[in-house]
Amino acid sequence: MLDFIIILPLLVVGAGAIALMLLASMENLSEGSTALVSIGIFAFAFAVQLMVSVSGNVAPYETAFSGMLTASTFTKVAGLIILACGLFSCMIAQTYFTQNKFSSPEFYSLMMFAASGMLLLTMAAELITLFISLEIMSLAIYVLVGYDRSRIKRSEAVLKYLMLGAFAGAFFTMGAALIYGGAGSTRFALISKYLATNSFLESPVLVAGTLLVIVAFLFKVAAFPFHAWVVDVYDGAPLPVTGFMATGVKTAIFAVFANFIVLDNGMKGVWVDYLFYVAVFTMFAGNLIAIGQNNLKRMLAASGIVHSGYLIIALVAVGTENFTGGVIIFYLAAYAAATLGVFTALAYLGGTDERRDSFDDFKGLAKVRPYTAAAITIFMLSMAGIPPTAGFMGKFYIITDAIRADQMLLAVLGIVSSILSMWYYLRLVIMMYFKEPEESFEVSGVSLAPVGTMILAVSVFAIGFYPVFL
Amino acid sequence: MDQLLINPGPPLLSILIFLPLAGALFLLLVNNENFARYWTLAVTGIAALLSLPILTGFDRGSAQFQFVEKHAWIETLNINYVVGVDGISLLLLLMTTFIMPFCVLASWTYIKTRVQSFMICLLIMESAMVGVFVALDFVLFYILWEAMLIPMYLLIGIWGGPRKIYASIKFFLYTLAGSVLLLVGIIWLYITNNYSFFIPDMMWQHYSVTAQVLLFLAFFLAFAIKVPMFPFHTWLPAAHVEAPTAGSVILASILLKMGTYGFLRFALPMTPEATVMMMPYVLGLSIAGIIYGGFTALAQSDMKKLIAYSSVGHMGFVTLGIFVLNQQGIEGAILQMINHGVTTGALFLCVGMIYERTHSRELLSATGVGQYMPVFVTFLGFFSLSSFGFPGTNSFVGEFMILAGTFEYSIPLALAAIPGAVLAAAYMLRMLQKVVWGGTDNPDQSWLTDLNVREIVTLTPFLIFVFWIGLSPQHFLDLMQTSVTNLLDNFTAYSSQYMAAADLIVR
Repeated sequence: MLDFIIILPLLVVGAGAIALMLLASMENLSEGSTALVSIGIFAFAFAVQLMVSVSGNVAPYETAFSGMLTASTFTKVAGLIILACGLFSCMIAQTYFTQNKFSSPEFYSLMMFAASGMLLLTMAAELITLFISLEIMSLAIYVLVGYDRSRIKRSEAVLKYLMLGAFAGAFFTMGAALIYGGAGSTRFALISKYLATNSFLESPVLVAGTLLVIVAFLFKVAAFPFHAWVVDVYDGAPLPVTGFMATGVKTAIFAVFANFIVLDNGMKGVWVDYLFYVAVFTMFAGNLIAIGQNNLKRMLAASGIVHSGYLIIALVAVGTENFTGGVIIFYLAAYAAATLGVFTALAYLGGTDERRDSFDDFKGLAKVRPYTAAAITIFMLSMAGIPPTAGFMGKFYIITDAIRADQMLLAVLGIVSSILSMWYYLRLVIMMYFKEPEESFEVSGVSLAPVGTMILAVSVFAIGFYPVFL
Repeated sequence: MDQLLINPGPPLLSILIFLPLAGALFLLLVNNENFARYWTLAVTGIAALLSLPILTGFDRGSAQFQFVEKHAWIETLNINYVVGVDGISLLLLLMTTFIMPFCVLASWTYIKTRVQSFMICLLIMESAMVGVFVALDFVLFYILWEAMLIPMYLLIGIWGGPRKIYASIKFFLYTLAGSVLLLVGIIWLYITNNYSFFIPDMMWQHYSVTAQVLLFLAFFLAFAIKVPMFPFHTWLPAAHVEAPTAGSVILASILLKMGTYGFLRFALPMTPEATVMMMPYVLGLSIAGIIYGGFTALAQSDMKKLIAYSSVGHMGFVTLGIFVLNQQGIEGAILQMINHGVTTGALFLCVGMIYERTHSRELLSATGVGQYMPVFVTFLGFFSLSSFGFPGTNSFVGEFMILAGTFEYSIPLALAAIPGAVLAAAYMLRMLQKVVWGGTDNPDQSWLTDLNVREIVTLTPFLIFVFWIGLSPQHFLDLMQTSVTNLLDNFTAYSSQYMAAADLIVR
C-alpha cells in the first residue's frame, strides 16, 4: 500500500494526461479551459506530493515495488520542482497560445505525460524502469518540440533532438545491458551490493556500462562534449516547451544521475576525476557560446549548459555516505524559478510568432513596463548568482560543498565562470534599463503568465532566504 | 561569544537595516514623484535619528561588539544573522545614516526622470551599506557587500552621464571580480573554523603562514579594489564622473570606506602574520597612490574627475595609516575615513550644484562664478581648504595623525608621503582659484543664481562637521580609542616575533 502512496502524484498526473487525451476528441473543448484544467491537475498533484509524507531522510535505497523505485526527501522535492515546472509551463502555454495559434488539447496532455515520465525518473532505482521513464519523458518532449508543424525551424529542432536523443537512448540501453552482464542485476540496490564486495575497476564490463549510462545522462543535461544540440533545439521549440525542457528535464535527469552516481564509492571515485573536466569544460564552453548569442532563447539555452556545469560540480562534491542531495536540489529549484520566470515574462512579451526574441527587442522595457523589467532583472541576477537571490545561495552551497570535498580548484573555476556569465545576463539588463524604448510593448490577450512572473520573482527571494530543502 | 554584548533594548541595528528596505518596498506601490521624494527624505531622516541612540548608548570603555542581535538563519550550514557595532564601525555607521538624507536632498531637482526608481535604489543602498558595517556573520556580510552593487549599478547606469553604460559595467565587473576570491576565502575560513561563519571567532586564530598569505591576498584584492588603491583605481574616475550627484556622494563617502573598513575588520585580525609580511608592499602602494592621485588630479579639467583622483590620494593616506600599525596611524586612518566622507561628499555636492546650473562639469565653463554665487564659493572654499588639510579643518587632524604615525614607523616613508599633501594644496587651490575668480576670459556667468535654501541646508551640516572634527577631534577619537587599542594589543601579542623580523627588514 505504501508503494502506491509514493507514486500517488505520478498517478494523478498520468490519469490526468490520459483523461485529457480522451477529452480531446470532443469538438467543443476550448483551448483556454484545457489549460486551466491542466494547471489544476498539476496544482493538485503538487499538493498530493507535498502531503505524501516520506517523512525524514529515507535512506537512498529504501525501496518500493520490489526495489524498482526509491523514495526519499530528495526524490520528493525533485518531484515538487517538476510539478511546479509543469504548472508554470502550463501558465506559459496558456498565455502563449493567446498569441500563437497551433494549440490543441493534446498539447497539455503531452506535457503531463512528460511530467509523469520525469516523476518516475526521479524515483527510478532500476535500470529498466529508468529506461522506460526516460523514454516516456523523451517521446512526449520530442512531439512537443515539433508541435508547430508549419514552421521549418521547429522541424529542424525536432529532427536534431530526435536523432541525437535516440543515440543517447541507445547508449543507455547498451550500458544497462553491460551493467546487467557485469553485476548480474539491474536493480541499484543489488548493483551497489555487488560493488561493495567486488572492486569496480576489475570488471571492464561494468566500467564500460557505467560509462555509457553516464554519457546518456550527460547528453540529456547538455554537458560538454554533448552540448551541441541544445542551442538549436531550445531555440526551435515553442516557448512553453523550451521552458519545460530547460527546467523539468534537467531536474529529473540530475535527480536520477545523483541517485546513480552514489551507488558505490569506488565507482564514483573513478568517474569523479572525469566529471571534474566535464564540469570545467561545460561551464566554459557554455559561457563562450552564450556570450556570442543575440537571441534571448539561444542565450538561455547556452546558459543552461553553464548551469549544468555547476550541477556537475555539485555531483563531484557529493558524498556517497548519507547522501541527501540538498545542494543539488536547492540549485535546481533556484535555477527552475529563475528560468521559468524569464519564460513566463517572454510568454506575454514575445508577441505573435515569438516576434520579440533578441536582446535588441527589449530596449527600454523598464520605462514602459517597469514591473516586468524589474522581475526579469531579478531572474537574470539570480541566474548570474548575485546576492541576495536564490541563485547566489545555490552557487554558495555548491562552492562550499566543493571546498569541503577538497575541490578548491573546481570552486575557484566555478566562481570565475559565474563572473564571465555576468556579461550576457547584464546585457539584457542594460538593454532594458539603459536604452530608450522604441516601441510600446503592446500585448494582446488576457493571460495568466504575468501572475506567474510575479509569483516566481517573489519565490526567487523566498527560496534564497528560507532554504527549506536543505 | 565573550566578544559580544547582547542588546537588551529595541533591535536598533535591525531597524536601521530593514527600515529603508521596507521604505523601498512601499515605494514600489507609489506612483507620485513628489511623494517619493518626501517619503524617502522621511525614511532616511528617521533612520538617521534612530542611529543617535546607538551613539549615546555606546559604551566607550569596551572593545566588545555592542547592540548585538543574534538569530539563527540557515541552520544546516550554521549561518546566523548576527549584527553588532564596535568602535571601528560605529562612526562609519553613523556617517552612513547621516549622509543619506542629504543625498536625497541633493537629488531633489537633479533627478527628473523615474524618481521613484531612483529613491528605491537609494533606500536599498542604505540598507545594504548599514548592513555591511554591522554584519558579524561572514555570509551576511558577503551577501550585503555584493547586493550593494546592483542598486549602485542602476544609479550610475540609468541616471548617469553620457558614458554611463561603460562606467556602470566597469564598476560592476571590477568590484565583482575583486570579491570572487573573497568568497573562496570565506568558505575556507568557515571550514577551518569548525564550520562557523561567525566573524569574531575567526580572529586571532593560528592559521598557517601560507594560508594567511593566500587569505590576505584574497582580502586584499577585494578591499583594494573597493578602496581603491593604486593600481586598482581605474574604475573610480569613470564611475564618479558618470554617476549622478547622489551616486558620487555615496561612492566617495561610504562605498570607498568599505575597503578600508574591510582591512581593519578582517585582514588585520584574521591574517596578522601575513599583514606584517605584506605591510611594506601595501605601504608602497599607498605612497604611490598618494603621489599618483595628486599628480593626476592636478592635470584634470573636469571637476568631478579632479575630485575623484583626489580621492585616490586621500584613500592612500588612509591605507598608509592603517598599515603602519600603530595607535596614531589607525586612529588617524579611521578619522580620515570620516573626514574624507564629509569633505569629498560635500565637494561632490558642490560640483553637482554647479552642474545643475551650467550642465557642464568642465572647470573652464565654471570659471569666475564667485562674483555671482558668493554663498556657494564660501562653502566651496571651506571644503577645498578641508580637502588639502588646512589647519583647523577636519582633514588636518586626520592627516596629521597619520603622518605622525608614519614618522613613528619610518621617517623616509613619512617624507615620501609629504609631497602628497603639497600636491593636494596645489590641485585644490587651482580649482578654487579658477572657480572663484577665473581669468580675463571668463564666460558670462551673470545669469547664475546663488544657492537656494534647500542647497544651503544640504551643505551646512557638512561644514559643521568640518569644523567640529577639525577643532575638537577628541569627541570622535574617544569613540574608537578602546577598540583600536584592543586591536593593536591583540595584534602585538599575536605577532611580536614577526614584527621584530619585519622591523629588521625595513631598517
